[in-house]
Amino acid sequence: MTNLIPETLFNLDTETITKFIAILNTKLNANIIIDQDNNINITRLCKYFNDNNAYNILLGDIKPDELAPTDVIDEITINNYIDEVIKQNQQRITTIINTPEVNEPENEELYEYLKKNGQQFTSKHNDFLIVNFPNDFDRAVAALQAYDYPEALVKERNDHGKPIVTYYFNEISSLANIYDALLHVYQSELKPFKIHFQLSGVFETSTFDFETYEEKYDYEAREIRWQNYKSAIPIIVKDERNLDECKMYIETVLNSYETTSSNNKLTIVHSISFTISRMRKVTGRIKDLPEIFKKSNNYIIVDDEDDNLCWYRFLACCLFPELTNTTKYDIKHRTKRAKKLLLEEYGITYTTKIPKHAQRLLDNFQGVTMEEMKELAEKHKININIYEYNNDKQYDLQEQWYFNKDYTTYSALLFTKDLTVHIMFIKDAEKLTAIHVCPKCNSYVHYGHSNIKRFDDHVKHCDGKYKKQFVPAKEALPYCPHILNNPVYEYCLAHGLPWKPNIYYITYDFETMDQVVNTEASKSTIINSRLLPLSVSSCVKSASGLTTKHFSLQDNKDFIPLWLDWLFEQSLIVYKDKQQYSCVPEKIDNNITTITVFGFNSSRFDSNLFKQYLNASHWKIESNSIIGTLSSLKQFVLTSTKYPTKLRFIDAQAFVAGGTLKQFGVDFGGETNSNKGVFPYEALNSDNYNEVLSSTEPFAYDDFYSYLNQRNPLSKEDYAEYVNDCKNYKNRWDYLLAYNDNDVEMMIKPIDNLIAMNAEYNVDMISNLSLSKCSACIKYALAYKDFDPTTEYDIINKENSFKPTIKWWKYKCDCYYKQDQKYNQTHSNNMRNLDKCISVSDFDEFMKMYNNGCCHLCKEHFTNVNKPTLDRIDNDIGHELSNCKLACVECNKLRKRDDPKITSLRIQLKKFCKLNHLPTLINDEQEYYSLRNNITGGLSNVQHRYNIKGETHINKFRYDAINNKVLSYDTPNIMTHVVGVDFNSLYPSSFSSTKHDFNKYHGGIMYMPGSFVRRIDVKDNQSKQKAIDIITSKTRFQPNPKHLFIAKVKLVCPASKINYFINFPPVFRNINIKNEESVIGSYMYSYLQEHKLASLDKEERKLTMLLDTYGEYMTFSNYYLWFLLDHGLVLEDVKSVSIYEAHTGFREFVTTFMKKRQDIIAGKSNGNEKFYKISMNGSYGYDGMNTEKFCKVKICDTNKAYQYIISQTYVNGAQLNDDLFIIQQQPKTYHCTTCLQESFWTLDNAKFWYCTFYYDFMNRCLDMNRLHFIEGDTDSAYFAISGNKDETPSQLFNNIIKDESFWCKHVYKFFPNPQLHDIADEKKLLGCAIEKVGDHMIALAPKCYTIWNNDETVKL
Amino acid sequence: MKLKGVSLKKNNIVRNDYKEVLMEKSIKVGKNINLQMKNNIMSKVTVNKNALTGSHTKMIVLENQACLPFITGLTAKDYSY
Repeated sequence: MTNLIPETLFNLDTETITKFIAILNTKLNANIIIDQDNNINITRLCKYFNDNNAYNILLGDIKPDELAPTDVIDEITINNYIDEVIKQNQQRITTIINTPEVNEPENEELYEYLKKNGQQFTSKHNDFLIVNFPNDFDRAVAALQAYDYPEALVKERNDHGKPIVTYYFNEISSLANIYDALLHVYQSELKPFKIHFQLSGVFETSTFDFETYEEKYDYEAREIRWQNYKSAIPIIVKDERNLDECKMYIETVLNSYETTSSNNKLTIVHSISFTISRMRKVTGRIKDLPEIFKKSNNYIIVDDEDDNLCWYRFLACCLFPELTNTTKYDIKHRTKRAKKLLLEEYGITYTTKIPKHAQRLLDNFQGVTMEEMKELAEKHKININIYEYNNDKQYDLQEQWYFNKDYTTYSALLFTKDLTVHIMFIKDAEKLTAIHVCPKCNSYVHYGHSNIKRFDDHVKHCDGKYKKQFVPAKEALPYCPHILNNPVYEYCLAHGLPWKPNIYYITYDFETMDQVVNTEASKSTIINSRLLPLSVSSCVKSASGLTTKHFSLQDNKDFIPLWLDWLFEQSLIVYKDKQQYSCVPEKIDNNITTITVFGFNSSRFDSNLFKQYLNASHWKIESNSIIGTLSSLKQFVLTSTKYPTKLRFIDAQAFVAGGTLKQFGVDFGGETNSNKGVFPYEALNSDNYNEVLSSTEPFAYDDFYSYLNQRNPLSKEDYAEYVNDCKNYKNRWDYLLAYNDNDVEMMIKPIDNLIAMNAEYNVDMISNLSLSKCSACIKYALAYKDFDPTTEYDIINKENSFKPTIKWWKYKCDCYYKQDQKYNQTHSNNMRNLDKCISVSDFDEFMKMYNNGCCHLCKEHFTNVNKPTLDRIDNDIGHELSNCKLACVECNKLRKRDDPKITSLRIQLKKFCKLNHLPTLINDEQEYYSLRNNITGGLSNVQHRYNIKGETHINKFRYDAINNKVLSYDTPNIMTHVVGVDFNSLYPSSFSSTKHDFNKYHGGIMYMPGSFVRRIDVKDNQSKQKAIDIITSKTRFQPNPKHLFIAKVKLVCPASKINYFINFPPVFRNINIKNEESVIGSYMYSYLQEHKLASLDKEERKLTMLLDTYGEYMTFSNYYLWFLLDHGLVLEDVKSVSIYEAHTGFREFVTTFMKKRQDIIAGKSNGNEKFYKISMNGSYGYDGMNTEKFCKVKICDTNKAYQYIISQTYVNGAQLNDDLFIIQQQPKTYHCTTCLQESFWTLDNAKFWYCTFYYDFMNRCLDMNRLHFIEGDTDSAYFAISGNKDETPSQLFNNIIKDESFWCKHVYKFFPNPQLHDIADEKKLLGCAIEKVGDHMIALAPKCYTIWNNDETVKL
Repeated sequence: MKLKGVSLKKNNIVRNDYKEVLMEKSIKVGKNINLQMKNNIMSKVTVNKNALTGSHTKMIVLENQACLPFITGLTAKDYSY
């Protein structure tokens, strides 16, 4: 690359240079600032040319030293240059669209979009920008002209301090107008910035009039509504090249409007808005920088100087490491070097004295943007880790600029205050921040100094590939959430105290009114109204009973802060009651000051109504307490400076399976319908509410009509009751507030009941967040039902089989030494004596201790999978052999130093878990991924869409091996009815380990996996044989297995077996299906095409039924895999086998809950059937929870918002009030705190059972030519049957039985026996029941079907 | 009747619509009215959605309305009725 030197231009006068700059600025948006000093202008111009590699275009092949004075650049050269650049830009866009790989990574999403959809757009009219030509042009124009658009808001850049601004333009009549607008934005904003846009104008809606058979058109001009960011792709604009991409994007979007098939079309475009997320420059000099930076052991070079050079000083430190020696060099040296670096960027070099024009340049320097910094870092070949310092006075890794593994990585501290961003050099980031970043992959991050071994381990084995980081649990601890996650219960259990659940809490509920807006947000979405808070009520449940109070617009315009203040005041009372009630010392219950506040459906509704008050007055939101997403806050905690208590807002609806408040009251409170009042929300709006509510008349019947529900929820009788009730109130205001109060009071009883029912199983509902968490707790609580902390449980191994080697010992010594070393760094007043720390010479001494020793806590002996660790007895002394005893890894972790009783409880718990093979957490990273990536949900599929009695033939499939073709043929049998079979609680059945005769394996019991034992990865023939042996072992037919496994295998279906499987393919797995004609067939393809459905030509991952593993490796659990192999699929290859222990611990939970539920239904006992039902169905979900997808929500001020927006982890954000932003981020790491293996087996067992029912039962005894499978869901299957046409559908399968004796012998193992007429038989585990029968069935697609009878009744 | 996407209660969808969608290869549109966040403000929103579509891409649908599984080595052309 040849560079232009400023001297080349020196013989041009000021006028010419200024002219050139002006041309470049207008035509190419060069953004070069014009100075009075010609030399500065020349330097800037020169830098611009060099930055854009302009030499060759300007001067061709002439080398710099051959330049003659006549070769100077003139106006023609400049104009040629401009033309060439414009041409190149256009080419570049074409390249972008064709080869997206070559471009800047920030806008990758855009390129991908353009590649798929990129098209040029031309308006269909000269005077208007027309996307779709309106059918009635005049009326469309009339609609446009009649509409009163708001004034265009063209902002000047005087609104400093706002990170997000919107520009609005109207009177758009051509594409050129849009480009002008875009240019205006571009010129007035500091670059770079992120830009989103949205446009609006006149929409045409067509309706078909069935009376006149004519299409009717309506025209409506609409305003722009800036909606969700998700739908739009943000474009990072740095220079004018990106501007072209914006244009292309706008054109493409216009094009997509053009091709839309919706009956709601955009015709004339009239207005456009651009939303800019500003990316600020890094300049430095922050007043009142936190003192800690300066005092931080000299790890940070603060250099807080007001010259905008902080980035270059940082760069100087990186490039000239000697400058970081703060005793030898001070800020002056660094600044000097920084200036040099900066001027080099402008092509100015000097030895000691800064040239005059360069000095002016320095004086005018404005700082750099994050993007420029990134470019410079790459240019200077350095990687940078950027840290932030957050409000909790902790350092955190914010972003990583990682270019190349050969570059050195430096650390920077970015700090923002009062809109100034300052960057500082960190000398030793690990010591300062205690954050360790893997130098190989740069994605593995370890916080804190403890367990550094894990980090070292990672670095040793790291392959340098980036992934969102999964942090495995460190030890395979027993999973027992009701004890280990509940310190209060644990304390009670250990100390033999009676335990009580939390019973004091507060409820709240908002009432709202509409503020009618009725605008169109997108072509398919209409915003009818905004909802404004009208009143709020709260009911406090304390020892003295219930206290209810309401706040409303009637008393005060700002009633929400009053309400929150009152809540804090009341929380003191609840706190006192909790203290009195509590059965444990206050330090054990760390949540005692936290008072829970329940809403109903509050996560998605109520909490959003008072978001802007979350940081106000004396309270503030606890940043790390937020769980949920931007629009659905599942939990948040408010802390106060005035009160010692905290308020924790959660949603009571999460503890039941959805439903309305009314249903909640009926199901769990035992309340009658009338207890929940009625209120006509839609009768009032923001304009008339006071008037309407001040009236003393009762509301009219029609006022109760609900647009939301599309009906009037009141019957005439209900209305009469309301009118009667109304007489007790002075006016409608009073009625409203009484209604509001009633709502919060009626929540108390159901919540109390739920707390009591959960407490029966020692689960504290309030400390959990959801139904599935509570029921998972109960599930495990019952698996530990026989656990008694006072019993001494047996040990498993009677002698030490692990043989310590000197090598192992040396490694151990190193680790402990490092541990002590790290400890000393943070505890300077209480150092451990490193000289006494164990060393290689202690080996003999250690062996003496080991040879006749065992774990000092659980007395277990050591094996190769349970190696000894050293447990320090006196916490103040380091790892000295005399201070250490042998312990298992888990025991060491479980030991609670200050309470021996709890330690012994936990040790007993661990022994109980080991003895019963109960599940432990997955602590192996690879195993986690193999489970997580292969979990397959419930199947839902359709095989025959059209099934009409007396018309449709039973249809079967046949594979023709000779021609390699598949035929769907009709049998002569005509269908007579439809039968739907439904499994009883399929998932609970699958993990219940109930015996069933049709299960051939393990004595008829499906065992569940306990803790992970080991994995065999197939590397060679030997390991492959070992894996195959495990899979095909004959022990599968024997009872009492020790181990279960999952195997990653490739299965094939032999040609001879295809016809056996083809009518009901047994492999239910996810595959990628590309919606192309050659894949999905022309029938469906043309349908998608005709209706322009979104999935056309896209690849989607779908769960379907297959005959083999489709050429991929798939993971199966043992029972399902055995079923497939034993029915004829062939094991082609195996990649790995992972072995787990086997247990039946969940049997207790399922049988207990099933029994309770059946007894209640049968009327044998009293209780709440619903609770048992939802708990059982909810209990399986928690184990499979995917924490990888969770987002982090933060609330922050404007300064922080800037930092988060530029960060890569930024997902979404919104402004709550002047200085409060809510930001959603993608966290860098995630944990798995549930037993994923349970979920995997549950799901696969369910599939195994579904297939067993079809192949081993139906296929054996029914005439399969007289039935076909119509549709199946996770736990149900519908069949079309050709039976006796003179009988009603209740004949079920009776007329198609082929093997009568088999049928009679086994049918009641699945179906209920009508002679018994017993609820326990009807709902038996692993059994099924007839869900529905009917004459006809049409199943369009999975989960979208209808069944009916000729007489329009469906018999259940 | 069962379907996903829109609420059966709030839309007038009748049995015949299923038949129509299947036989005439059409699409039935419905609307969902709910309360959700728009522009960070709680709003009542009406969303027009495809209530019933005959889109079924998990298997190969033939014109006789039978849906066949994907088999390794075969393309859609190899299926007939």
